[in-house]
Amino acid sequence: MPRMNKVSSRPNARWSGASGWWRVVFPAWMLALLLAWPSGLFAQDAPAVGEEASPVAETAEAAETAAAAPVESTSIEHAFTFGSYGRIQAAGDLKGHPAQDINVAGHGPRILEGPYAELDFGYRMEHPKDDFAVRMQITLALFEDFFHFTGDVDQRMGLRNLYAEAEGFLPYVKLWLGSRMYRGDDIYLFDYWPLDNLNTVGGGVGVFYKALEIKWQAGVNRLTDDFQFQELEVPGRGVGAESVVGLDRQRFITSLKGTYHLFDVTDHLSMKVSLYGEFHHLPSGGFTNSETQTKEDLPSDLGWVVGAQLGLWDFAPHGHFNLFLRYAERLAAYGEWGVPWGLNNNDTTDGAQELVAGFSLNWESRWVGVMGAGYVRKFKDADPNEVDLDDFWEGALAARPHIFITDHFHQGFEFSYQWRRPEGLSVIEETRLVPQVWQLSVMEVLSWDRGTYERPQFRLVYTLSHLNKGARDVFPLEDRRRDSAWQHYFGAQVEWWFNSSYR
Amino acid sequence: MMKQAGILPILMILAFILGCVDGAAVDEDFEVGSHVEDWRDEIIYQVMVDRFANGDRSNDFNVDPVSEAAYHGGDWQGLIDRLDYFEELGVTALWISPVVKNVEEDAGFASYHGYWAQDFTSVNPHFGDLAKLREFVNACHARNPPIKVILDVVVNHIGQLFYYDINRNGQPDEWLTGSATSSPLSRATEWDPDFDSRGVQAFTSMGESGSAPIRWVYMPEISRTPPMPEEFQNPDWYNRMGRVTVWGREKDACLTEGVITREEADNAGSWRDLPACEAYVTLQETRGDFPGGLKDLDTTLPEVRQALFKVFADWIEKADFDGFRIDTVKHVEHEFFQYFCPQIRQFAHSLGKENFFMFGEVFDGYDPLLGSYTHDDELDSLFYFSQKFAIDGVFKYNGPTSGLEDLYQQRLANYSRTSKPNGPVGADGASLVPTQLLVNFLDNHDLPRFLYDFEDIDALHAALFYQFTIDGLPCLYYGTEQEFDGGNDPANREDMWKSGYATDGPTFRHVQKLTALRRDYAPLRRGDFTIRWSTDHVADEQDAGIYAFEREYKGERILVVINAHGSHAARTSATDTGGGEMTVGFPAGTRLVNVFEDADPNDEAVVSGNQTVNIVVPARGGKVFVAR
Repeated sequence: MPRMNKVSSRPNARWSGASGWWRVVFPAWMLALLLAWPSGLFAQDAPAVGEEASPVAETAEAAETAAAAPVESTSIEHAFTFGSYGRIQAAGDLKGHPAQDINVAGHGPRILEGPYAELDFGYRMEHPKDDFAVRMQITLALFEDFFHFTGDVDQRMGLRNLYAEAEGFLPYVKLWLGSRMYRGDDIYLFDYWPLDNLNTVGGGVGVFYKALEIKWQAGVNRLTDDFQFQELEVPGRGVGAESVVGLDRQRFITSLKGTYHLFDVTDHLSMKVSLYGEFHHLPSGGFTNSETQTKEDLPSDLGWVVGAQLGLWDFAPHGHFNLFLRYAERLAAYGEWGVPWGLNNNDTTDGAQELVAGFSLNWESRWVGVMGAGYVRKFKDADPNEVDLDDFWEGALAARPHIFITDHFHQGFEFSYQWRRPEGLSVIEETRLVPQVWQLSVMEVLSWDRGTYERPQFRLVYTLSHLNKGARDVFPLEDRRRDSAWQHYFGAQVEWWFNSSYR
Repeated sequence: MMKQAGILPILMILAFILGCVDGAAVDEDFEVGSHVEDWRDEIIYQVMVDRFANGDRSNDFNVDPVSEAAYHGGDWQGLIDRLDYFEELGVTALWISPVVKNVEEDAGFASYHGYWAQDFTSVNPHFGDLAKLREFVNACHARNPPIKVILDVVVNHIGQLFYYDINRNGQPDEWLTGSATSSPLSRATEWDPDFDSRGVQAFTSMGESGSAPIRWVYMPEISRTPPMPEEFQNPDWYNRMGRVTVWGREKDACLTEGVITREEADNAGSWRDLPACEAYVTLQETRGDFPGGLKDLDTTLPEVRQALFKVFADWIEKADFDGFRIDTVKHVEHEFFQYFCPQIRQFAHSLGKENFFMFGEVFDGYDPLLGSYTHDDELDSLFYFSQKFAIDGVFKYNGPTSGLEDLYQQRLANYSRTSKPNGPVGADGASLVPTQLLVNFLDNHDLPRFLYDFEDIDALHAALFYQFTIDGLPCLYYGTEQEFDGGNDPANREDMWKSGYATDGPTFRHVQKLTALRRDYAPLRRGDFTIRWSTDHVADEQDAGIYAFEREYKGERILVVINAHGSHAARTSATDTGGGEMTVGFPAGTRLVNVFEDADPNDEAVVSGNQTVNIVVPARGGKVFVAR
């Protein structure tokens, strides 16, 4: 079964004017996608890829094939698909409060994540005369909290995908246009895409030739934050005022990724290597203080990313290992949705940097499975202050072993450690603190089948967390997580994915 | 398999190392120590941090450069960036705005000045964080010679963090009373009600109903929340008597209050001549809220005194400050300072700061009042307001220089000449006393700039010459060297960056020469002070405008002669009006050479046989003579 459709928190995407971090969440299925594409859609062109696809990819393909039941048609082949990702929990802290995450790293363990769901609708048409095929994809995401928890019928929703993809018009080529989340492999245990993870309106072209994939994408966004957009009231042509758009600058983002697969490097090892680059550009603009009518110039800015990935599989049933490296500068260091903070004295992001090294792994046998993850990240904003809290190192390590007692009942555990080392001093303690959190979870798991990535998965989870002084200091004075070094979580969780548009 | 097995431990080790590395330069290099050899050597430069230099745009919260009442973006990083400027100017100590966290705004005015404390223990995030503050102080101390840093502290009040619930309805009200026909129409506000010596009274339509309860406000979006540390949230820690209303109408206020009779009022020259009235004014000033709703702490309470001592002593330890400038001193009773100052000195000593310096602001021209705060182990020094007004009289308004001498003679009577335990000491280890340490200034953030109402650069230069050559510590308000000419607050708090930090302007160069002169001649810094000439003449007399004095230190003597007159040269002689020539302390026959300004080798004078000397100084000029 595919290991896919996770959600990601992006604490490096802070929105000015909002309270705290804007958490952006969206699903990804890219690992399975990259491995599944060659074997599924281009099997006739690249048989070697299809034959040698990793177990993850194979299961992804199977899932799609099973769900893509053909719809009767007299002229064209077409199919409607419905898929979903979802997770929800009923959980508390054993003191009568709802459970809260206690991450101090930007991408801590996902074990305590809040609810999230996606409804995935696809429609595929295959032309009767040739290989031309088009697929339209719509993904509706539902963000926490849900109706039965809050009693509030207003549900936060987002349209995560709205695009169409065409293939078969040229050999080896696919084309897409629309609004799309566009990304590669993730670190499941952290719900984190450490290399490539973009959300834009635009399009892209992919060339898939035998073991080689080259994917190019270009898109734009224009956030409603006043870093990019401002609507102004001006004297009306008649009576009263009317609105005009004063600031309206669009960020352009393009990326290029090349992946080469090496199958059967040994009897028990296949691998792939990816190289990745990204470029951002934001034109200049001007922000107008509506009270004083003074205008502040916002200079143009740019950013870029370079990165690489090494992927290994076949070394064990359902086993994989991915190693990620990413280096970003300027605008790109904040992410494509990030409203930069800590600008330099020229009001640009020159000086901002992000460096990430991370890995994810999975190893399984008939009786035991282990998921593992780790990352280290350095972030520095663009301001000249190098001893503030916005500049930091952070990281996390996690392991989730499963014992497959039966096909459906698993005994799970998770061990994790996360830390953050800010360059500045604690505002309260007035000394340098290094927040650190240790977590131990015990999970009773009812699963669809043997395997760490099998879903649906019902879990009864107890998590004991230890927060050092620095970790407690991360939270505001009135936050109850600050009160105790030991925090409890107990909850029932369910997580599923099926038949989703993981591309 | 081998590869994955190898990478995981590496990452774990890396994480462990990074996680355990606990501290970098900012935390570990910080040490508290003594950086002052002799406070008389120092030249203070007053900086309003928000207006001096914006070195870090990332802390520009709620900045509006158009509004003079808003934050403009200056910060401690900006000061770090401009340390070369201070050195080039020649100043040796920076007096910076209060560093504590303030209520963000009140009635459309922002707390960019720093005098509206909300949390005595946290830094004002507009200026940086504690690490940046330490970096700034460290950077100052790392200069050669070290630049000292003086912290502005407020012990009298907090920001406007509560209101008086006069009508007990649980919300802050502002309303008009009276009919405007049968009774006067007047405005009342629960934020800042008028002074009532009984304490602000609650009031309903049925009449008074006891002391008005105070209500803390909770508006975290502008940091208008109850004060911190939490103990400051005790309502009993505040006098709760309402706003001072007596200024400018002292006699009327005393009459209204019934502390003096009409006859007493009519017969007295000044309200200060009426002890009962003076006591009432003092009561208002020391127990009333500072106008603007700044809530007055009851500093008579031992627990309040201890708490204030603790929060400000902590700042010495946290950021290695070299001294305090204490705000609104005349609004606090003497007994507070008799507790606070010795405690601070002792604490500083315990940290190894053996020369901690405290000078206070008594915003008053009444010299005895200023001097009163230097006795009984109170302050080491005062911001010399009475002299500031005397300087204006002489250098702006052509007053007689005898006014300066009169004030000097009062100094010896009004200010303490007794050393204080753990107080400032000179380079030779001898204790320094308040009469030696007064802080001389021409303008500051509460007064119009010198040039505001008298746009005469020569007059400014002459006043600066006086300020830098008399005894005491010169204190230069930022921008004076750039010829800023703003009027009253907030016009006198200009953005320094608009000057371009130019170092080639005539006033910058003038100050530069004066700081160099002080640096080169120890008598100008540390020397005893003897007045040789002053005059009542202000017209065309020979000596109209002349003020001359000597400074003597360890046998080295310097003669300073100033002509404050605006239109003609003057000489140290009054033979035209039946007087004599100036007598000096130099032996007869000594050849004196002017070493200031042009250092003209021909600008000499020879002391005559009767130890007199006749020196001519051009209008608004000054000369410094040393023996050759």
